[in-house]
Amino acid sequence: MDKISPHIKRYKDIETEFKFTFRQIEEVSNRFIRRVNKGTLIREKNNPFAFCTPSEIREIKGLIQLELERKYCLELIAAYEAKLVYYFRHKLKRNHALHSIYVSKTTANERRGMKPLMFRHIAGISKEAVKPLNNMVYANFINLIEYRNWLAHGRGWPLENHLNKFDFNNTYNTLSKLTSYFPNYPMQLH
Amino acid sequence: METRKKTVKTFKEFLSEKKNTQDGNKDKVDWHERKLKWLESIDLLYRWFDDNVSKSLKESGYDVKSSLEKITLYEDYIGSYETENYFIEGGPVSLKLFPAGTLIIGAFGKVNMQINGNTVKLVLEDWGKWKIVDGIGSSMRLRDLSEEHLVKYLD
Repeated sequence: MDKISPHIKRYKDIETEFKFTFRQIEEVSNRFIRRVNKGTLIREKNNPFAFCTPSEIREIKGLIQLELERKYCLELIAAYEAKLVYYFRHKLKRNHALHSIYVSKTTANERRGMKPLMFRHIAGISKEAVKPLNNMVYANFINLIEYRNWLAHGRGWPLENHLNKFDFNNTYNTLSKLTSYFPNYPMQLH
Repeated sequence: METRKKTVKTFKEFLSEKKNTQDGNKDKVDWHERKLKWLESIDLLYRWFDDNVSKSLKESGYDVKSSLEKITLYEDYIGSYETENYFIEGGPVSLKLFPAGTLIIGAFGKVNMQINGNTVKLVLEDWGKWKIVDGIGSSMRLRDLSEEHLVKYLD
């Protein structure tokens, strides 16, 4: 099977959803702040900002937006993991130097899809293929995997400071810079 | 014949709209009045605690210490104003009241209460009518500010 799963989301779609929701939170909270500041008494059942002052609304808005950013980062990273796996299994040409690194870092079963191919394999490949060319891109990718593990494993330990930099845009930039070092990486896999 | 909705205003329409807005300003909130009512409601609330909590503690033989702490709050349109936090300590009760502001969603003001380590919101449902916010999210309810509802938070 060499067709890409139709369920893998494109970057553009994830970005549109993320930005739309982010803006909605911004608009709703600003609308409530404006109404409170007009002296309007808002009695709405299940209002998420019930009995909040404008500064508390701003604080809650910030927390919700941070949460949204994290959720969409994980979604973006997960989609890229699937795309990178597809690229290595089906798009990377055998005659390219990267292919021999790929072969050396994976087993036949992982390449055939009998066993999962994951970020740890891509990290191993990147260490040989990307690190010598651009250590910064490689280091950022390794940090991103660390951040991804923190998110995907239920945030069970404190988030280290150097991982705080990964907002939605930074996550996308890190992944897109990494893929720029992979030959014939198709545009459709963004 | 159906006329198309006009989007461009004439100068006359603009001026008449402005005039209406100025007339409408009569209904604008009197922020000074609102602040006074809010401060009065805080006093009322503190008096309720004196008459109920402090009094009951004293009657039960406990040594009661109550104190006020001056604070400055800032709210949009109202500006800075002075009010007080209120603390009551006696026997098994440690109670602290922190006014949060009059500009809030769903009520005319809020005071955060710390009672034996629990944080509870007290909101002004109507002028002079304080309520306890019980629960969160969809299960949120407003309970009357009464001794029996307050005792729940002491356990």
